[in-house]
Amino acid sequence: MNHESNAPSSPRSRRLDPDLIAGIVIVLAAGALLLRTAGMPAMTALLPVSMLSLLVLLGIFLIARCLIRLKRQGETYVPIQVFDNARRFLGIAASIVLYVVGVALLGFYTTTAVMIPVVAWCFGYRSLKGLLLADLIFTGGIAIIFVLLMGQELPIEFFLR
Amino acid sequence: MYGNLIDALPAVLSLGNIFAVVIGVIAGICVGALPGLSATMAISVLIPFTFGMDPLVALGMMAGIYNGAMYGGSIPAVLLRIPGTPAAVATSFDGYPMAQQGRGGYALQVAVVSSALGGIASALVLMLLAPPLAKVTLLFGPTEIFWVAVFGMSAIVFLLGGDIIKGLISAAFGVFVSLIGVDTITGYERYTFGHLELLDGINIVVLLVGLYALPPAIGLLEEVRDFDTQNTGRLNTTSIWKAIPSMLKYWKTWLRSSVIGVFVGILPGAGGSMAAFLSYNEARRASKNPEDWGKGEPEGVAASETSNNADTAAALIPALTLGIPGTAVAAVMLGGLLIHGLQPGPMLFRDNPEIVFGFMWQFLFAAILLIFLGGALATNSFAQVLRLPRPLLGAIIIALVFIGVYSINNRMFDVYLMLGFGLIGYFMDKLKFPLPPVVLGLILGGFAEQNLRLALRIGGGDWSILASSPTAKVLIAMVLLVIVSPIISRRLRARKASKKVAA
Amino acid sequence: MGFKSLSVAAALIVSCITTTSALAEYPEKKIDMIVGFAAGGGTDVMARNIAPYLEKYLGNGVSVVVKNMPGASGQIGITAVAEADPDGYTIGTYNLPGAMARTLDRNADYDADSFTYLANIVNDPNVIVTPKSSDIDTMDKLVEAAKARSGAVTVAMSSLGGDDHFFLQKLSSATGADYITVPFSGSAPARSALMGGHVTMGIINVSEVVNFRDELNVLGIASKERSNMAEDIPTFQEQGYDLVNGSLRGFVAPAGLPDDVESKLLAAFQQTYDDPDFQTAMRKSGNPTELALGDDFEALNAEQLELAKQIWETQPWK
Repeated sequence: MNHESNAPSSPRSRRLDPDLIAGIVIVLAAGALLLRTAGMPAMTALLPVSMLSLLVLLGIFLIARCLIRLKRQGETYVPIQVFDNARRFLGIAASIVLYVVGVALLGFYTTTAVMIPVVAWCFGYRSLKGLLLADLIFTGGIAIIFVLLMGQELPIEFFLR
Repeated sequence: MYGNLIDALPAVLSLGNIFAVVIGVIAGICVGALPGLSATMAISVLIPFTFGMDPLVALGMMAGIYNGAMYGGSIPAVLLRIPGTPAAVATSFDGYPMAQQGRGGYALQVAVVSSALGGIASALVLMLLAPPLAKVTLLFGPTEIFWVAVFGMSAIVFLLGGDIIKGLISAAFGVFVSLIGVDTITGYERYTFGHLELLDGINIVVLLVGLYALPPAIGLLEEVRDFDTQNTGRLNTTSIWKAIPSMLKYWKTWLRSSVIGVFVGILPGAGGSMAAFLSYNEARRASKNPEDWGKGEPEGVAASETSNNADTAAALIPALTLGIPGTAVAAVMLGGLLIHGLQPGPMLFRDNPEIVFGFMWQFLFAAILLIFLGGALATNSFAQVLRLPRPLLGAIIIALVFIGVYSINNRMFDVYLMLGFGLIGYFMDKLKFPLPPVVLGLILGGFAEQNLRLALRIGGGDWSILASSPTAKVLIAMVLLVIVSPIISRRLRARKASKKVAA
Repeated sequence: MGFKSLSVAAALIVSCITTTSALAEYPEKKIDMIVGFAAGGGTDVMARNIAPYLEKYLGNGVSVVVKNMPGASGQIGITAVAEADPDGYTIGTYNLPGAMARTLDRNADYDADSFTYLANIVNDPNVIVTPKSSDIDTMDKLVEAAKARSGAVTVAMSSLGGDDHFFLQKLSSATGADYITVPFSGSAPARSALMGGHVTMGIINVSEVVNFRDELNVLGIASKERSNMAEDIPTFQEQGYDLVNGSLRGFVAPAGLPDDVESKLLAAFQQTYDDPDFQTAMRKSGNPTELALGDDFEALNAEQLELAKQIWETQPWK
């Protein structure tokens, strides 16, 4: 870890290496889960402990490899780029979460009928006719299959509760 | 008993029953082809609906769905690198590269022909060899099943990909996920954090959809550039009948993969994805040009698709005769039998021969129908669907993924879990952690552990039980062969090379 | 004619007045029947078989809708029933001894007082089976073997803390021998391990062996009387061992059900149970029936809880 403090001297490495972060996350998460095996019976704990220890070990290897690479290649080292467009990714993630929460609160069909055109519009598909048609076919099709044919319940609409 | 087979035929050929199989195959292809929906989910949704139906109509639909979905899963696996079903993961290894090279149409044709052949082989085995193979299943106690699982894990060596550290991390993560839930042997709850929903472990569909379907959906929305018809959407249009002759050279793979698929099918609890992984790996080991695999080798598609369909009817052998399903889908189908008062066991064959043997015929018809229904028609129309404007496709996949995961157990918890896996899958994908080892680890990790520990309990804690039966000894020899043979062949090759240099 | 219709109208008015004070004529909307297992399991089949008869005997054109909430061996469904409104529009399946055992070995959000006990419909007694190849084919031989190699006889069962496990504890104290439990996940894998001869003996339920009579030795059945599904299996009591145990499946509603709703439901369950068509359907689906209605069911539950507590205190299974 203390190698990291040397890093900011070069402008390149100011952008953190995602592999390094992944390694640290893996070590921390596996280590935390490892602590929870304490109360388990021996045979129950055997495989979880060996897998988590392996993860910790591999995480350390991953970190070490990043640091060695950083040291060797110094300024020329280019880590993997995770996001083409971080804002766009956050937007997508937010809309997925919003959709799922919406389904839980407002019901499946209402939320889906709203989500499909809005998301497709926001992320670049701008044909109003196409949007409405796709929305109608998809949501309507699902409704026909699930409600009429199967009698299968998806989360119920807020106005029917 | 073969007399019973003939007697059952007329009922199967009635219009209603044929119609049920046709509908089933079409529905199965759709379900398999739509990312997020799986055969397990489709059949579990169907079961309550069939309660009042004639049993053969219900079973015919299920047979159709099972076969159709096993092929359908390859469509998005090839075109989008989203396996439509867990068993199509191995199909994407070579199918997607083929699509990128503009050979997606051929990949799908290989897939449909291989699927149908695997399905036919499997149905014939079910019809002709069910009772003797049920005896084979009985040879496999916990000890033997443990060794099969270990054998399956040897496939992981190839799946690790170029970066061994990352590959191993993926595998260990998969195994760890398989351990979540109640440890059935001590009753201790592992990593459930007090959630009842986690007690039974994590359903493979939840993980698969999270890892494989959500990140590409995000990817579709992320693409900033305008949606042009890229290579993957373009299919060649030669008729499937013209394409078949060029596939005949895969006959060895078809045969080998059918045998592997049937074998995995009759083993309790293994499943189509394991069949596909194993047969892909074996086909690759037998190939003259293993280095081309993973870069668009049609034989890889043939291997995986043959065996995941060869697994379908075979999985019903232990299900019908012993009540132990060979795959997750067969487990759900068993519910479909029970709901009609059809209890598995030898008595089922005696008391309801017209239904059991009729069901077997339906499997055969479903497999044959696959060529006609899954050929140009379904394949092309799905290719069209997948050519929808990308933001729209992304939005639709998100909704499908929700339905697919929610409907398995009718609960939101699984959806939240899937979102978590989606996030992990997204970053794994971006950081080039391979995903297949996660799937294999999840399938085999807990499975191997549970059987090992059952075996040890039976042996009174004595590890020598693991090599006590003849079946176990054969399996150990196979495992050693798989591990040792690449090392030996590498040595031999190295020696040859050095001789050449010397000469 | 005029008088007759007048009196009918009067009777209707009276009945309306008397019932609206509690609730308008129950049932007036659909009833959810929560099943804690996936569609197609034994409990689910019982629920689906009973639903149309309940609709018939509750009247008012009510529909009874089966809702599967699988997971945690039924606990998710039972918890949902316990937490539902006690208005008679949510009832659920209830499995003993599992439902009560979970209040001991897990943190359950319900207890024995969380329910109105409606009817127990199925009583599936335990049986002891051995592989066909085994020379242990009578109860006496088993007891002899168990005493001779105490702690070496392996017993296949379908889970921990279920009816088969409780039966084993009873067997263990009745025979004065120890056994090694081999808990498979589900009774079908346990049965297959038995058929393959991988374990010495197994404890499953009678409904799970009737289709496998030629492939297994059945040493006895843990019921008071012989089962009508397999008349030739002797009871343990006949053989001189006081062993009675089984898996029970029934229906409960949340605690605090209005009295008139409760009595209506109880009457409907009684009528359903007496319907010969229903009995045929249950036998066809392999469910051995035995009715315990209302207070009887509650007493049965208390008895099972007591047994579970006793075993949990002396021989905790985890």
